[in-house]
Amino acid sequence: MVKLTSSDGESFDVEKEVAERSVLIKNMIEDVGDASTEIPIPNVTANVLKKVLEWCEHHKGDPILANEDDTDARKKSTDIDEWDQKFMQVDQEMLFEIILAANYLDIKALLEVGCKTVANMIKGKTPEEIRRTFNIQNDFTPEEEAQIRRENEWAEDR
Amino acid sequence: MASFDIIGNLPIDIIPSIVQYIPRYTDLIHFQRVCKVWRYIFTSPITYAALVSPAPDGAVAHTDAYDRFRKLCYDQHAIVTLNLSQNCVYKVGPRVTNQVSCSAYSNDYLVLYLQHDRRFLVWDFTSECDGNDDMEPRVLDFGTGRVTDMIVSEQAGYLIWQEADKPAIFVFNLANVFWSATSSAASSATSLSSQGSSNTTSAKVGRGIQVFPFPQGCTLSGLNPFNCDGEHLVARFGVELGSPRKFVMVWDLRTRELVSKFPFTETGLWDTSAIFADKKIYLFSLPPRTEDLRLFQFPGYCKAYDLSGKVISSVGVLPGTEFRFNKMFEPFCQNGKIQYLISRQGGLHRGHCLSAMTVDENTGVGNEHKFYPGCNSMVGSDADINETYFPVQDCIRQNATQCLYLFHAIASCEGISGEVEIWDTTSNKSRRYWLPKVRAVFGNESFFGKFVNRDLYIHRYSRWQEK
Repeated sequence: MVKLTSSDGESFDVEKEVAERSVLIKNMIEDVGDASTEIPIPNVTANVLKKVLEWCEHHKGDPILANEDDTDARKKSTDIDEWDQKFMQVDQEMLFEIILAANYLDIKALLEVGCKTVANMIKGKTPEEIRRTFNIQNDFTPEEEAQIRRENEWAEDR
Repeated sequence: MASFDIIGNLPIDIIPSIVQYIPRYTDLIHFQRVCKVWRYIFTSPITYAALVSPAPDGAVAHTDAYDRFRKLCYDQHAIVTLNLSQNCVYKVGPRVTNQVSCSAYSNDYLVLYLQHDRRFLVWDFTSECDGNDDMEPRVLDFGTGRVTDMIVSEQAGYLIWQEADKPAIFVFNLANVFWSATSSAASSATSLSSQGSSNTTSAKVGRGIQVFPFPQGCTLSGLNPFNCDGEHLVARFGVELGSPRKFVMVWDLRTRELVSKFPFTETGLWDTSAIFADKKIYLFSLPPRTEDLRLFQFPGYCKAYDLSGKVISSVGVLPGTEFRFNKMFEPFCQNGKIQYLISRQGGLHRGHCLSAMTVDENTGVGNEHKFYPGCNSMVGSDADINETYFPVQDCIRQNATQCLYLFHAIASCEGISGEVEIWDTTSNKSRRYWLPKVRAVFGNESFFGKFVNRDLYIHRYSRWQEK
């Protein structure tokens, strides 16, 4: 077992196999040489770390994506498997935190799922639809917006 | 679910990980309008730098650089190149407006006619072209009306065109414009570019136009009705009032004297196309069309004439059945043999395949190759495709490598996406490249392309609508 400590001080005991879904943690364990040493995760809060570990637990048997798989991943569609879809049904701030954590902990597959989820939220949407989705204020002046529209006239098909 | 601007708050180096799952570049353009932060993100070098890597098998090729793409998208119509060596798509220089009504290209030149402005835009591909440059077109402002047909002759770089309601063929040697394919010419090209042609240009090229009046009571006939090799101008005419009589006229380009005039039409046959190469005139004829314009019951044939009108050879060709000839029907002469590229399409909203057929002049045997959008190309397959397509296509060839380059667009509910299919006839392998989504203007889009070195130049435009 490996003990991980979140940025807000909460500890999690997890199987080594689960923890090592994170390349960062895996390297830290190898560097320390003792899996029983408590490993601090300073950039991830407890509620996010808990969520990330839930994902790692579910995917602990999956092959770990290596760097050379990047191009292969790019070819994939934005399809997300059912479990991951449900896993990602969180509020947008949590989704944001999961992506950040996956990036920090170097969990490529989780980062991929998070990015696909966000991509699915924005692709094919108009700027106004995106603003509504993410509660974003349009801070362009009418003149600025008109200028951008002119620049992007080619793409104005909706 | 609480709303939160995920994109706007993520570190920018993560954005490419998301953007890679956005297949439509037009989406990336739209994202710039969400807010200032998003505009910063989606115009940032970090974002587009991540988009440079094409998919390894070319199945989905992105632009090699997002900044180039952004420039491309700023213009509604643009020339896009597909760099085969880098396996990516980029543009050379958009100077095309939605006024384009006619286009032509050869190995050396690309010409577009802007009907509203009555200008020709001419790109010279004989000058240096490494694909990274914005190639500026020359503007020739001597168009006077509605150009209905034009070509650029392969052999000598002559621009030949016809204008509506003017019974004449206009010929202009593009070498008069690109008198020097060197850096000095390049600097001139800039000054003559789309901002407007200079008076010098108009005067100079204006003097170079040759006009060949139609014979009395005749009009040009068939596809590719004229051509020239730098020495002679060849044009096919049909006699008015529905007469099947058709004939060819040959002029000496230098003296403008008529060299010969001879009939060529067999009664009841439909002349479709012709080429002029190696001082021979190849005329291709097909049996009459049936009612649905699809079935050709009998073999067509091709006759080769010398300049005096004497038949040198006559061969039969087998166009096959259910061929629908359109602008894709393109004859070309290769290694002394006339061959044809023919497209076949299933029609609107039904299974569609794109076929290319090469026909050997000597044997009359055609080899048909089918290309199915949405799946790997297959040769001779009859697989059914049940997707909805609106095929818009063009066929590009490169003789030297025996490759066929086919460009077609596929319509879906999301718009038209362009696709280039490259089929190497030697290895019998094909690769596909997707071009950025284009705005769907059904039935009103046109595409064409040409090769320069290893770059494929794809141009798309919407035909200008006369109101």
